[in-house]
Amino acid sequence: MAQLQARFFTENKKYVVDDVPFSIPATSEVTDLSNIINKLLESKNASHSHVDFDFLVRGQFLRTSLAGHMEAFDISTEEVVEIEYVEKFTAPQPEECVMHDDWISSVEADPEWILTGSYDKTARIWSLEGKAAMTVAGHSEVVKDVAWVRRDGLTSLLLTASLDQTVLLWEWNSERNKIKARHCCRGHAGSVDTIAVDPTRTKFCSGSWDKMLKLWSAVPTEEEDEVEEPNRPRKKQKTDKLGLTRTPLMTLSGHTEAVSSVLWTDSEEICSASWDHTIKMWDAETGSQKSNLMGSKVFNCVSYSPLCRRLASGSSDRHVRLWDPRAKDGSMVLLSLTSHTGWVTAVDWSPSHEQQLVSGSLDNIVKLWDTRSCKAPLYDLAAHEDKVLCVNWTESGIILSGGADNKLYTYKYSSGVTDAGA
Amino acid sequence: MASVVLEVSMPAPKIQQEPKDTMSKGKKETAKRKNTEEEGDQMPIFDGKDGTAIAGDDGDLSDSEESVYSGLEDSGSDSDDVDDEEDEDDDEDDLEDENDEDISVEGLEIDTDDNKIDDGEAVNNSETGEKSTKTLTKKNKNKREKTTNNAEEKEKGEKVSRDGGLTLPRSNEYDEDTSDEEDIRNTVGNIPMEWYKDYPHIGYDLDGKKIFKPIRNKDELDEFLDKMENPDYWRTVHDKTTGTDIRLSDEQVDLVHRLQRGQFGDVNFNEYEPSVDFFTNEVMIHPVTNRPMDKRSFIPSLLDKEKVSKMVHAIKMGWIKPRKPKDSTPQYYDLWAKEDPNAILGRHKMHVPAPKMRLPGHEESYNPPPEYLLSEEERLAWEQQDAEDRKLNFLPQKYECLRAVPAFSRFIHERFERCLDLYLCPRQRKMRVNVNPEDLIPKLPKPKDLQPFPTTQSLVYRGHTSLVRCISVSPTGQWLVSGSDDGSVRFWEVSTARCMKTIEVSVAVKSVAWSPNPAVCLVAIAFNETVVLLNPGLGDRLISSATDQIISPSRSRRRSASSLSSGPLPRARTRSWATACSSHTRRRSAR
Repeated sequence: MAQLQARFFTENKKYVVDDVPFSIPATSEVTDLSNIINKLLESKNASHSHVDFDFLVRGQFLRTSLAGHMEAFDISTEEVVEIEYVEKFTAPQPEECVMHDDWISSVEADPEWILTGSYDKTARIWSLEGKAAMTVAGHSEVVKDVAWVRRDGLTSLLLTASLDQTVLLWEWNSERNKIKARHCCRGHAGSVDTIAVDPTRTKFCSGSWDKMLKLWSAVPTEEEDEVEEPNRPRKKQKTDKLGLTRTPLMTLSGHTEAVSSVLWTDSEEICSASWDHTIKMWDAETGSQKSNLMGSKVFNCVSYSPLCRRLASGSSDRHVRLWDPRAKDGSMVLLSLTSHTGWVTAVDWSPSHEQQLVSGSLDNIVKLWDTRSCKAPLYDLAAHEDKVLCVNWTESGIILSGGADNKLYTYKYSSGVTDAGA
Repeated sequence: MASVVLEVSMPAPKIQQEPKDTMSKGKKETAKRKNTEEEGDQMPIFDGKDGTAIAGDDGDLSDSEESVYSGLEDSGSDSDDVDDEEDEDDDEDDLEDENDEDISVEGLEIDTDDNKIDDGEAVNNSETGEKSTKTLTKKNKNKREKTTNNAEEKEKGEKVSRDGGLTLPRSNEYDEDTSDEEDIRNTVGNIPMEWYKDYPHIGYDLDGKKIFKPIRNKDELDEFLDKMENPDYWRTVHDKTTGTDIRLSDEQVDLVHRLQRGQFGDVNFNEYEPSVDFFTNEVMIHPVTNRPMDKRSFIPSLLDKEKVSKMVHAIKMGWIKPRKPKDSTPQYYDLWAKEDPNAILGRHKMHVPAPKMRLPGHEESYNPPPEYLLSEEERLAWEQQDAEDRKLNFLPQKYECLRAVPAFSRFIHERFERCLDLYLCPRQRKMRVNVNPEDLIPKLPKPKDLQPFPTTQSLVYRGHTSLVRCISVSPTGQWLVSGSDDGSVRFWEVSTARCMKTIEVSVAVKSVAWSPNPAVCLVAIAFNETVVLLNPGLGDRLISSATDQIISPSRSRRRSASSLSSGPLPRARTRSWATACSSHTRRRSAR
């Protein structure tokens, strides 16, 4: 029975054990190690209650036996192994299930409200408990993407992008529960599939099937921009007008295929992922391309985490890939997370934890990943019965996912930091 | 009676009684009898023909037996055999107790003289049918005993005297006239018994009386029943001369088996007896004969002499020419006899000139300049090298004067090598084909190069209820149109598998095609004999409206979700579709 020398350390002050090497059997697994730590803590502190721990060796989660893990990662068994242990991440707790009328194409939640866009040509606002608050109707085609612009107190601004090539800027009065279309942003020659608001909340960028990215102002004004089209599309809707027409501030062209996803990495930089297998970084001010990341397959979605400064992209080849946006013109995939069995249609980083992200795919499963455990996701949330089309992770620790089964699921997830009663 | 007879009292007991000679004789007789027995039904079994004649005539009898037993049937001594058999039958009949052989022997003794008298009776007796030719051995034994007993008196002395190792006792053949007594049961002789087929009798006995066939002849049915039921069927033999079925005794059956196996018939006979040399193998002092060899042993025979002299005469006369001795020098063609380029005009293409000898250089000199001599290290290196690897075959040597030069030790070697060069020289120019074998293997593309090809299923577009016949993707790649047998044309969003629109055509749609012109948003749908050009209204509004204008200018004003119009085609019915199609929305019941 081979023995290995191991030393345990942790960031968490609560569960510190002595920093001495222990001799542990080589075939021990996570549960065994967890028991060891618990015993050590009990011996130190009588009132310690059993906590499940997760262990990392050299930044990778331990998933198999210790010996197997070390062999797989070529870690020498002669020296003392440093094992970091963290509290085990509990599974996300499913909370709400909100039924829609049609497929949910996009979801974005802020601390109080959930905004979803649906294939029934409307966007809806829900409370966190799943109560419908508002229906935003105005588009003549399915709504592909929604985004909050600003929320301060009573009025909020939100955007809806649709297949009818327009982006509507709405103003919502939550108190009186009234919504009004402020602007109708025209300019795209194809369905607008994605929008993203910049960190300053004054601009937003939209990507569409016409291979263009367009920058628009997100500030509602009273002027109407010049309109090129002679015939203003009018349609009888609940709201009277669709708002004043707005034209784009800038158009960024360079993609050779449809733009599937766009985001702002900071207030000057835009990252766009496209069906032409590339992720491009643009300078928002000049409108020029900064760099280009080449992939091998269509990119369906992309997300950026300022915490770890990584881009996560979901592709049609079922992988979630991590990139460094600062890389200059390359195809440097930092990490490839493979577990899905269908196209990855949506990814989102955790806003609080720099190593966690969630991805949704056409195989009906939403997977919660930790980048340190690259072989397998932490959790699989298999609540959807049909394709998952969008995911979102809010700052308050709620994971939302919406799919083609008309359902929106919310999960509560406490990541890492233990709070009493999280 | 017969049963008693059948008990095989082996020759062994008899042997005790008999002296060796007689026994061996008996064996021989039994062997012969067995031989005869084998010769078939027709032939009366030869047994003891010898028996009766044995008294003194063994040698001659044996000869005559051989002639008889040469394998030819019915060589004419049937009657004798018959007589013999009858004798035996006689004997056996008279004998009650075979086991008591002394008695039997004596009985025989008494009877021997009366054989002939008794024969007639015996014949009659034999007709009972029960008498199978009993163990011939038995009879033989009996006969033998008889004969031996006879012989004992007469011949023993002779035999003993004669027998220096001879195994063939000879009986005096004139003692008995056996030919009459060969088989006295039936005197018809060697005739095919079918002649008596229709007669109630089967022959005549010695007294001239008819020998009647057994009362009940066997017909087919009887034969069959016999075959089925009679346990002894397999060992009964029908004797044609007497018309009786003779059941072979165990001994006889045994005899038959032995003969079939190729063994000697006589159990007593040991074929592996050590051979007794008629002469010793010791080298004697004196030769057997001292006769000198004839001259004819040393000179050619007369016939040869004649032949030779004839040939000589023929040669002298010139009729035959003696052959010249063949010249044994090998015939070869000197390839390079004449290195004359002109003479080889005919095939000068293929001509390979003789390999040239290396002209002597300074190393071959008897007094080379010092630089051509090998230093110690070079010499060592030269010695260590393999013979083939060396540049020079020899070591350059330096001598003061020509006189001091010894004979060249490698002379023969070099000549040999020169010969090797000459006759191992390739006679043909081989055109070496510089082919890289790997070039011949066809280069198959790696699967990576062939990509993109489908490997996994990503999306399923559900909605059609029947067989989907045709699909077409828009030039932008955003939309997919499909037509099916359920009479509907559906428009799908490619990335999500969402069915955007459905158009009902009541008949099966055979083909759909999206217009590749990016400036136009048109789909062609073919069903029955109609082709419909359709503007699905998906994609860019501008283009869509532009397309509308193209298709039907009158309708372009109408802003509808989608507009349908048909383009006229030759020989197709023009159809105008009234209003917009049903745009597909999903309404889920639960809210």
